[in-house]
Amino acid sequence: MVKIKVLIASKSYIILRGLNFFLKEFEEVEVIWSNVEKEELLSSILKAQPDLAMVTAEMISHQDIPEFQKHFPGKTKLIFLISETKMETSGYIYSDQFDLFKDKNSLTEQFNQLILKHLPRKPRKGNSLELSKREKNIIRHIALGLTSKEIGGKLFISTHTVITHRKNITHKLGIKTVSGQTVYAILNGIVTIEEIGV
Amino acid sequence: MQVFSIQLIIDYLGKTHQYYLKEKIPEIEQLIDQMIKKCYSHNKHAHLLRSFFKEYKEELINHISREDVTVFPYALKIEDKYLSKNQLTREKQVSEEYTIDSYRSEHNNIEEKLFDLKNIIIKYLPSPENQALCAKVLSALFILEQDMADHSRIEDNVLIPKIVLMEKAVRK
Repeated sequence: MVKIKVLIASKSYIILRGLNFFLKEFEEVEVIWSNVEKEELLSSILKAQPDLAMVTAEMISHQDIPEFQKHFPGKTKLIFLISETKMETSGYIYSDQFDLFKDKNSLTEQFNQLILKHLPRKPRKGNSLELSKREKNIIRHIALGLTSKEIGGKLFISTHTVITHRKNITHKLGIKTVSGQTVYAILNGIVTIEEIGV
Repeated sequence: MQVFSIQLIIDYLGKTHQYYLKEKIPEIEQLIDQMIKKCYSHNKHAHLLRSFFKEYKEELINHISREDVTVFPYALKIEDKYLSKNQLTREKQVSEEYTIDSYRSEHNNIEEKLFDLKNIIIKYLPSPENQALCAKVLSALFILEQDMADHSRIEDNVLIPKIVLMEKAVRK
């Protein structure tokens, strides 16, 4: 089984030890914990290549997050260790956070959510609900009123392939009709109203 | 429900048609108009919902009028034939150009649009400025959907099988 590598970084010895202890109960998790200095955090993440980097706020200031994330190796997700009371005052809610001040059940729940969100077990392809580039191109042509055959001719693929793409699009979006898909395409800027001429 | 006469079933179906067209659809149309104004005032594409619903409405009207004008009278005629023992008129009047089979596959399309409309509102529009109103629209759509599912079920599972049986008997 491929393990999920988790790096924990904090100045607090209690948090380091505590979280390590907590995460050990998850079979699939491998904990790397480091009591690095703020300046070394990035290099230790680069070195360890963890799936999740769980850090406390004092390790990075919020303003630096975008900058920080730019340097991340592609696969690492930054998770903030917070306490609810603290976050309320900061007024800035960061989406990927982990609230430490909870009982064991909610901690487990939170962690499972994180794993679900960031580390989908199933392969991405065909499972993700995002449209691929190709599918976007096809939905664009659908919105413009072309038939599967016409689209195939234009993109140099067989009609059959176009139909498969369309099935996937329907499945991903949960929209079955052409007009529904057209609305989707407009809402998402794949095509403009002017182009369609509604 | 097989014991009900076709006359009775059609009477019921016809009345629900009127209920949809005269009550439900205008009501939802108004709600959608309000929603576009109050929930998505900053979204320049929200008016697409209106055109989408309009399209749905037209499809529904077409479908309903096809039932009212063609299918129901046909069903009544068949029942009439079936009940009348008069062989002579029977043979003369049964038209061959239409059978109930051609009508069977029609229902799905209508349901799909409603399904899409819900999904677009739920999944692809930004969160509304007025949540309560948006919830109202959605629940109206859900109720309509449920109602129509019942409606089609009666048509597909009660009315049509009944007619198919009578067709067979009459055409012998």
